[in-house]
Amino acid sequence: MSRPDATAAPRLARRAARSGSLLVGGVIVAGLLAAAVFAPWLAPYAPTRIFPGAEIRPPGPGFLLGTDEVGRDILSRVLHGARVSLGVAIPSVALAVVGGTTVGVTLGYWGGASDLLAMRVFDVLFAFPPILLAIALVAALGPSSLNLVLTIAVLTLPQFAVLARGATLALKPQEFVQAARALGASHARILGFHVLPNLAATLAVQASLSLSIVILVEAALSFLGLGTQPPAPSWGGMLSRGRQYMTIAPWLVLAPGLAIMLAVLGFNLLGDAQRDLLDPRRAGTRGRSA
Amino acid sequence: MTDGTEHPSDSPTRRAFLEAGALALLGLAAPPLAPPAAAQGGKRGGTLVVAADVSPPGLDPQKSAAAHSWMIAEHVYSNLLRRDAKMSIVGDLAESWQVVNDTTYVFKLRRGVVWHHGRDFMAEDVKYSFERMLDEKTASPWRSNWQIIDRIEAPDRSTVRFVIKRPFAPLLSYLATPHYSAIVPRDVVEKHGDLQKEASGTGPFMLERFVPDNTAVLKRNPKYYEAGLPYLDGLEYRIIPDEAARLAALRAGSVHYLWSVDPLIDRQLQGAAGVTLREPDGYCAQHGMAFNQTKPPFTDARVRRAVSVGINRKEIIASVLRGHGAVSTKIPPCDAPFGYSGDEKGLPYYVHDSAQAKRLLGEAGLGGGLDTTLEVSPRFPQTVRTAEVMKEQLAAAGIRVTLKQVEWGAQLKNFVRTEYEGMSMIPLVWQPDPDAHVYDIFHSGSKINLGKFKDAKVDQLLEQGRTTLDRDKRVAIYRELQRHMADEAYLIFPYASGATEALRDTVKGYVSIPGAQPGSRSREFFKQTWLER
Amino acid sequence: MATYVGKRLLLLIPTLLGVSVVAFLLIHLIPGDLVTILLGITAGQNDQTRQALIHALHLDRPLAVQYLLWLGDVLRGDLGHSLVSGFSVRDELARSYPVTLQLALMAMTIALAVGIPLGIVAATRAGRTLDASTRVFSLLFISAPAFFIGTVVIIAGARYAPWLPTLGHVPFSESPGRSVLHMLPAAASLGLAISAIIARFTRGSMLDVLGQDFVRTARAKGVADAVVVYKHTLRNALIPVVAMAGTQFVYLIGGAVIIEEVFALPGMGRLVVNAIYQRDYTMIQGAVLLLTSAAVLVNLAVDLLYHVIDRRILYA
Repeated sequence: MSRPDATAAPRLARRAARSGSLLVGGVIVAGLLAAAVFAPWLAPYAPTRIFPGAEIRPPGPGFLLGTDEVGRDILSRVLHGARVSLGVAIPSVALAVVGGTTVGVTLGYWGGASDLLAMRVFDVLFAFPPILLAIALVAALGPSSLNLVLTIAVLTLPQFAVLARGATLALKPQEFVQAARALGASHARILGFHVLPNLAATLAVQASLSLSIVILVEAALSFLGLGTQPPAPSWGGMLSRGRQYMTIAPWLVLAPGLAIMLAVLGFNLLGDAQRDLLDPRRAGTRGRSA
Repeated sequence: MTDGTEHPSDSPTRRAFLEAGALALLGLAAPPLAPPAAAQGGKRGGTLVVAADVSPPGLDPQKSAAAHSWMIAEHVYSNLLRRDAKMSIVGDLAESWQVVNDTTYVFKLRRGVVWHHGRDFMAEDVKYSFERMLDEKTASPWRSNWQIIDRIEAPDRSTVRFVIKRPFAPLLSYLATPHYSAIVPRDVVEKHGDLQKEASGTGPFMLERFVPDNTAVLKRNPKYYEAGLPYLDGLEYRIIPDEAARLAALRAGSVHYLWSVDPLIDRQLQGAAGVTLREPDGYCAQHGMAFNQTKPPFTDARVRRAVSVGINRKEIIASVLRGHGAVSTKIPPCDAPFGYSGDEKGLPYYVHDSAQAKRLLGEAGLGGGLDTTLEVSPRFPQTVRTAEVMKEQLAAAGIRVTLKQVEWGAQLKNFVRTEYEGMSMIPLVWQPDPDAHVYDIFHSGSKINLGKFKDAKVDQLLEQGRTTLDRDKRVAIYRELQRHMADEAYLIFPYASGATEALRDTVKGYVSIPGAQPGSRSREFFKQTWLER
Repeated sequence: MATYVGKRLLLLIPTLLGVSVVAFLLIHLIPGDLVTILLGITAGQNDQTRQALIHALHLDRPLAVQYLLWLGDVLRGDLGHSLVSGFSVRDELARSYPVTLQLALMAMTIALAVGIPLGIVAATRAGRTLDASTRVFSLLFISAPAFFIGTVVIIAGARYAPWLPTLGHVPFSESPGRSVLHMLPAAASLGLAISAIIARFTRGSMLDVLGQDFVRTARAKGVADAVVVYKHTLRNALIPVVAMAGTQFVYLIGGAVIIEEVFALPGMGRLVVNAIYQRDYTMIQGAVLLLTSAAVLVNLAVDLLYHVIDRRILYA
């Protein structure tokens, strides 16, 4: 893989325009982001406002998506839930990407004894049952949003580290890198101009996929009572609590369920599209990195 | 019959009459329990399946403080005494008893009782059971309850004598509480080390097998001492952690019984064929909110009172519990007359009044309002909901509460040691005696005084309540105590609540007695239950 | 090959040590008073009762000593006893692990049996309705959380087929047929979710391989289409799928906690989660050891499988 040539960019743009996945995925994610950002203005009520006596009302005037078991407006909660879900997913994946890349590139570039040690540490981390780790971390740190972000970041970081390390190792012996070294380029320059840009594509793909997984992880943690704490609206929490009432009030689970599915769908499509576009031979890393 | 109490009287007959009356007040010498079988006409056969939410961490009633252990253990083991459907104390393994004096109790044991593992029941077994609980090596949670015992004697196979160190009013209540005083066999304990997975008792059902996280299967005790009982061939406790799944199982008919604290349970089971709901006969479960009184602002009674009038208990009951609850003090309505039965007007600072709250704050120098925190745990969603509603109510009084959600283990530790800022609220477990409800948490000398407050009058009332054997006098003492507590607002009790039971229509003859949280409600009346086939 | 396996197995030991230390430290970091949780509020404040329990559980020794005591016991084959119930940790693990394993195997079987064919069909007919509907199916099952699928299954079962057992567990040793049937709804809920991932992966992998040079060459040589597909592409395409399936399986044996909770299966997932809530240190340590060993062994097996498939594909 060498530096992109001059005709690559326009070709890329043309292919992007034709990609259905990119379009649909992009629209969905943009929609979610918009919901998250503009929720306070879009939502008819405050998400935690309780309407006593109005529990489990079906969708109707006043409550477009109905009310939940406590008497809160579901539409408002779903909109604000976008804030919560994305507010956990995006920072945690961002942290994981930045942290993981730093660690991975460092290990791959400089290698040596610390690399061996680090790989053993990663072995340990990968072997550790992730659910256990998540539960123990949340229990140890306490159930706050910040701790949730940190916990998920810790769980997701190793994948990016291994990815970054693998890619760096593949790049190191290549001609243009050797040439740059010979010309006296500093490590920083090499990393910044040669290594990272080539990594970017792979990282972007993995990040999109991770985002979709993290949304589900947050839902799972909410089921266990360790995710976003009530009364804050979280799609996973709404889905989990609404299950009990599914037979008498299906709207309790349809709205958050659809929201989750849209989010996962959107990020998956984006990830797919990126992979198709940026890696035309689809020879990117998959399965277990060496 | 001897009676050590002096009665000022001037005639032998009157004296005898008074003696009998005094003994009656102490709830003594009940006639042997007549088997109710004949009256009900129950049908033999069938296994009743209960859907339980949590797996018991072991079945040994003397070692486990978990309510889910007792719900199984109470069908396997018997006690000297127990409560009937009206919460009165009647005999179980004890046929009759007498209070010889303030510190000596003699029990005459039933004859012909046989252990599940075959041998005869005798007085030695009673003696052993209490000594096991007092033994440090057992590490029994009930050890401190029984330290009042000086010695236990078994003069013959059917007589047990308890001699206690000081007059102790709760003794008979404790002896009627299944998990505090289950009678266990020495030989089985010594054979297995403990009774966590193996069991042998004298109760209506025998343990067939216990698979943790899965099921506990009990089968009928053919040699049970109440003739004709139990009707059922067996009892099965299926551990189903997810409430949605439990409800589905009940609707499908694969379980016969479950309980729920979901206030919408009636709507959930609406239209479900063959299911009946039972509301509790009394509300026994409590929440307690404590203040950190080691430093301002809650050292000032006016601030505490402001919080008490700042919340609207009736509104909380309507909104969080959808009406399935009652206003209460520490001793809940199901323990009337010791407990208050929902009349808040008799209690100081119980009627909601935001204006009064503001005034009180002003008097305490907090005219600009108060900022404080309230710790709760997401493990108990009902507690969190209650806290949310309280937060909104207090805001109108100028008290700005920040909810702090803490993991349960951590919160419990903070609560017990008063190591939280501001306020903290947890669900409390029902206790079998008024003394048990209040002594340890209110007494200034106690390590777990909730909030770390000191009040000589409270201490005095606690001591009196514990040593006064006359029931009417006791009732007066505890009511006085609770009035005083409400006046000083040392702790806040938002409500007393209970669980709703849901049964398949084929379950007949079931009676539950109110008492404790779901999961520890005494369901001894499964022995009188039968299945309509 | 033997040396490779041997080396990997040897690496198991430091990994296990590392994991157990991490687990130990992590759990002890969790705040909360174990003794009060065990004894309840009133009894938990009685000094003598507290001290008796603390001493019995070795909680009065320094952390390092507690760890070493535990390690010494483990090396002698004694995993200790639950701090909460007193049950033997080994017994509890022996009881619950087969349940989790059975669930994992059944779910994986369903996932592969459904996912791979779907993926292949989608790939070979890429661009048509079958592909599209497969993709929809995949996305549906990937994005619906497992507990949701599970609850729908249970409720539908209760409504339309009340005679069908969905909850609880019949041990395999007791009755293999009934055991499998009983667990089918749970395994299906889990398996379908995973099958979606496998289907997408298989499809992607097949498309890659189908586009490669040597396939075009084979086609040019005139080998029949079907043969091209099945012989040449499948094996190559399967490599990443095997790797992905391995990762999923490792996750599964970690205990699909949520499915176990929803379907009331007495497996390791629930065991461990409850142990964490109750601060049951010895149980957690024992469980972590078992789960980690299993994870490492499965990874090793997958790698070996990888090599086996790989070697047989080397063409001239």
